[in-house]
Amino acid sequence: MSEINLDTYAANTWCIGCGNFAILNSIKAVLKSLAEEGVSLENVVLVSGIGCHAKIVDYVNVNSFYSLHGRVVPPAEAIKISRPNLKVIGFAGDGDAYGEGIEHLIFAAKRNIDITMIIHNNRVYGLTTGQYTPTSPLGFKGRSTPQGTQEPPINPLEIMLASGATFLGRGTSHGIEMLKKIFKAAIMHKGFSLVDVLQVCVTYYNMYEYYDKRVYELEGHDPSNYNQALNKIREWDYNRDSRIALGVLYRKDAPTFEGQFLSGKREGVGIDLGIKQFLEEKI
Amino acid sequence: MPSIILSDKTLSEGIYSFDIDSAGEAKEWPLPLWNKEGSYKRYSNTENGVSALTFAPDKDAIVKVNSYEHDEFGIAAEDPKTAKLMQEKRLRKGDYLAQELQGYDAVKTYANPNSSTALLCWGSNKGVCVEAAERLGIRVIHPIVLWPLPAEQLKKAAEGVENLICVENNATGQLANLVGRYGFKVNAKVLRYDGRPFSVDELYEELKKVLK
Repeated sequence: MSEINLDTYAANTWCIGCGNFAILNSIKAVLKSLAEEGVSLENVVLVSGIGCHAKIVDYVNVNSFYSLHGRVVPPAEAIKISRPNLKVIGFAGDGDAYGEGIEHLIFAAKRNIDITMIIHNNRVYGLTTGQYTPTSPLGFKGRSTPQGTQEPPINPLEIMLASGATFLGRGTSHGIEMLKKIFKAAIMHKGFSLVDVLQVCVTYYNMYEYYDKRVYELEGHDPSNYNQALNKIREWDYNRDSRIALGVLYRKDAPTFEGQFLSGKREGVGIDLGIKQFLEEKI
Repeated sequence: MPSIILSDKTLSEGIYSFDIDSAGEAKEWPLPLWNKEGSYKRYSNTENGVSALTFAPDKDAIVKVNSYEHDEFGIAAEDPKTAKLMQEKRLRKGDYLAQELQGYDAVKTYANPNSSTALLCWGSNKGVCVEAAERLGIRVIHPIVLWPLPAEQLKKAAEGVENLICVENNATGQLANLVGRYGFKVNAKVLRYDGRPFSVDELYEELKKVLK
């Protein structure tokens, strides 16, 4: 089983030192370990959006859906609902998930659909060469904001927690071993899971040193405790300098959308048939 | 292939009855499924542009769907040769679809088929147009497919028509513009664009003015 080759023939076009490599290598390792544990990889579908992150699906030789900007969640949800036995893993950038596509993310968390979202949060639009995103810090000087932004960032994990997400984690692209652990836990979680990866864009927003100084791995944290999770999530607001907690921040068991959705269907009684029967009784 | 069914406020907020048998049998066509020969390519380059389908999970196939320009396997592609090849494949698929459509009843005619005056309408305007046309003794042409525009069938439906009046619920005459691109001359447009549908009496009066 160690012979599984997940590479494709696609040439990798990410910059040298790009944080996306850590996510790519972690997910490949996780997929391999799942295969070794008996998960057939034909049951895995990767979904991506548009941006540097999106190329990840070209580099992993499993089923994939390279979708549109901001639209990773809708196809991921549709795939899960139509084929609930598939493992659906969505990859999105911060511009993709927290900007244009945030409404999809909020509703996916709200309905607790069993998909995993891995966010390549480099806090800059890398593919379009350096504009500010929803998680860029206040005063960020980018191509579209040469004088610095006038607006503070959002805290995506706080939004996700408030929206009803049942698994929240955070890692960095300088911590592959931890990423593997969090990714696997997120994928195995039954319900909506999101991992915010502080993935560094080495070319347009090199934060390696900044993160290395501030991140720490959670210890003695109870992820099933909402208030503890909220405190850890609020410790760093993606703006001011403070310690940054990494690991599984929140985890909760709850009924999943597709479970409810599918059990609500009655076998052999379509809506057309119901209407027909009703009309036949009345007419 | 994904299709778009146009609806409007009149249809979605109104209550209608219809004869289900007259709609005919809704046939489900078999999907062009992959025959498992060779390695699977989601966008295999075929003569008619249609690529064989398979769906995850398929232990013999890796299915890669891609919204970006891509090669036959579904990996994003930026080289001009592949872009051109795949663009031409999609164009052939469009041509094939238009050809297939010729076997369907894509344009309907109502009221007086011999009249040299015809109303051209689409969607929910059919009902009022047919009633008004019956009162006036004129023809109604109602395409039920708008794209690819069934130009040949439209030409046949408009045979002998000298005065073509387009009735539409929009401000610019969108159907008139569309058929204009195919050489159909619209002599007059009767448009209502205040967010409300035509009533038969109102349309009848408007048409009388145009026909004078």
